[in-house]
Amino acid sequence: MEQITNFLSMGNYGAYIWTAYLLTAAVMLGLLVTTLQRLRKNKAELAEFQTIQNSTKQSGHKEETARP
Amino acid sequence: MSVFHRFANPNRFLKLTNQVLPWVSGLTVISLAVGLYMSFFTSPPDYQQGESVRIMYIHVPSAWMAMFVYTSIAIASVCSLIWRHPLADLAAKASAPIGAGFTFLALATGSLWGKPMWGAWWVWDARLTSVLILFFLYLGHMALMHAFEEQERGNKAAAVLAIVGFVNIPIIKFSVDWWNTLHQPASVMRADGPSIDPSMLWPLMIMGVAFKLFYIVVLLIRIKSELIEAKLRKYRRAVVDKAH
Repeated sequence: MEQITNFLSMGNYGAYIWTAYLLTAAVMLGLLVTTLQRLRKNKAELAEFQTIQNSTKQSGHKEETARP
Repeated sequence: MSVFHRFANPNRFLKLTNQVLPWVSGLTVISLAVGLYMSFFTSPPDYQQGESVRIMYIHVPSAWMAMFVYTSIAIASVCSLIWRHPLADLAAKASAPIGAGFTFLALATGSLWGKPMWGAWWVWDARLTSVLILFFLYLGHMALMHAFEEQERGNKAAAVLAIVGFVNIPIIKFSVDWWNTLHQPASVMRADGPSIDPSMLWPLMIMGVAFKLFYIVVLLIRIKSELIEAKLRKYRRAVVDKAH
């Protein structure tokens, strides 16, 4: 237990050191998470457009073939 | 130029990215884990600064990345303006928020290190001020990219800003030699080799590599996202055209 508190206190610089490391982790994780979220959103929207395009293409074909 | 054009093809780029990403991601996690372990457990406290020196292992790599990412943006901007390389604008656009993040971290962790060591959160000296300017350059670049209806014009304006602003990079690097400052001079990238003990140099280098790998991972994912966005813009335009 004492070892852990010793480690966490970091020679009385703990507040500065841990804040610096937590801040770094927060910024880097934040960058990664927002980047991944945007990729997922874009992928989903692209898939939507492509299904619309495919279905209109198919219906378009039917119209053409239906015409004499 | 042939290498250039090979990567200019977005489909080939995507294919390569998908192959490389898992490996770079794995290496990032490993180097971060090793770097963090060494930063806290194998590296000694400094004989003057005590344990507070451990902030160095994130502060210095962040500052390196702040300058490295900006340099990458400046190079991409040159490629975009001269050769109209299609991926160059995307790379610059995708890099800016990452660079801004690292610059913010360099400033914030420096502040957290400066308070116990110098007795001040902030001083208006050449090193700190030039890095603050770098942070604003990043913000300006991001703002310009989104300032125009036509993406093309935003890209061009941002590219010009990035190239003009590059003058700040050597100023940051040499600020500690040119002006009197509280900030310590270079101890790793020196003409006569690093003056820092290997027990501290190793974790610092590994953290430096880890941060660089992290940049590559996030950059590749962001470029991938930008490529999809370009397709989405085309689809949206087609929908609008149809509606008219």
